[in-house]
Amino acid sequence: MKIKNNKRYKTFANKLHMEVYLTVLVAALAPCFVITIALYYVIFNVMAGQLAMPEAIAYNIIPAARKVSLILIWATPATVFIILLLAYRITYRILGPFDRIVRELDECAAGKKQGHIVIRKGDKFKPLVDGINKLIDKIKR
Amino acid sequence: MRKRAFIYTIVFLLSMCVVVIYHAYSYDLPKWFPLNKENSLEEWQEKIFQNKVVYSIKAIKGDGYLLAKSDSACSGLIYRIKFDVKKLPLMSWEWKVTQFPDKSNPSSAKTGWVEKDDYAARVYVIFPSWNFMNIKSIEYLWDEGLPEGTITTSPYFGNIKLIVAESGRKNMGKWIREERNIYEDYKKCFRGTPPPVGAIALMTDTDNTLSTAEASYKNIKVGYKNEN
Repeated sequence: MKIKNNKRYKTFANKLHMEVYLTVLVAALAPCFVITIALYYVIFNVMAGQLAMPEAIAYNIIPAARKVSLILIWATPATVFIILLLAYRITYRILGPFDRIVRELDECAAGKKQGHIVIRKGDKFKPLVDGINKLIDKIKR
Repeated sequence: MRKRAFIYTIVFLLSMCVVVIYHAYSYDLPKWFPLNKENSLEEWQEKIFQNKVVYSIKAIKGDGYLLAKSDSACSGLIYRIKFDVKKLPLMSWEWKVTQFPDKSNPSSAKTGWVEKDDYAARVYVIFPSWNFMNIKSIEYLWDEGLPEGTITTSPYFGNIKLIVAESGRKNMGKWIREERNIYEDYKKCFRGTPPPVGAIALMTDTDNTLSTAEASYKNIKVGYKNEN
């Protein structure tokens, strides 16, 4: 949590955001890791078992396995970073406005706030907010 | 009462499975390969890497052997067998070399170690691992140039150790019997306790020197210990 210009910047918009973000991350990364490890093990071990002769394994499989490992060492952090970034961006856009909509609705209900509920450009729930704003207009009338 | 009967049945079935699996993967030891019958190679698998070495059984009345002729070729015979070298450390065989690969071939521009990695006769003991990177192997060689007793590392892989069991031309054309203590050799080569042996293999190869070689093998015996 950072404090800048008296405004609190939170990593996660709310608890729900954190939960959904972690769920998306686990759902995206866990199968990838399991499948990668399983395929790596199955492909190379089965091939090694078939070749059986150590020189053949050393000459054919180990260089290939080393290349694949090298690719994985570079590609995995990059992929994980991209997934982290995208998952954060998407879940933030979906769940970030949630708290604000609830808070502004409470303020409207308590009579502290006049006018429409406003969401940022790109935030999800726009149809919902438009519907609520129409309802507010109708109630005012 | 019914629940207990069910548990006993499950335990009985599991025990039967364990017994069946144990027998399926156990071998009659010691295993002896006289290599003196026409069908002696049925149990062996051939692994071809570059061209095919001609492996043929020469059956003679009461005797016989496996003859390997390699002409710029590299293929080996492998037999999968599992035994613990700590309990059954000995392995023996007889071999004869009638032609060594020509390692001074002037037509070959490359003169590195890999280019000279051809041997008239070699016997492998392979120690597999669940991780293929950790597979280990000891190769007993009959080489023309390296002194007997030399232990060196394969140019292909650090986990392959080469032991010169027989050297030079002085016994060329004669049957020589070798007996090795695999357990002791493993400790010399790799240190630590050896895992179970997973296979043995034979190979006569000349793919690197692009020459010809000829060797014979017989009476291979594995998985026994000295009773004295």
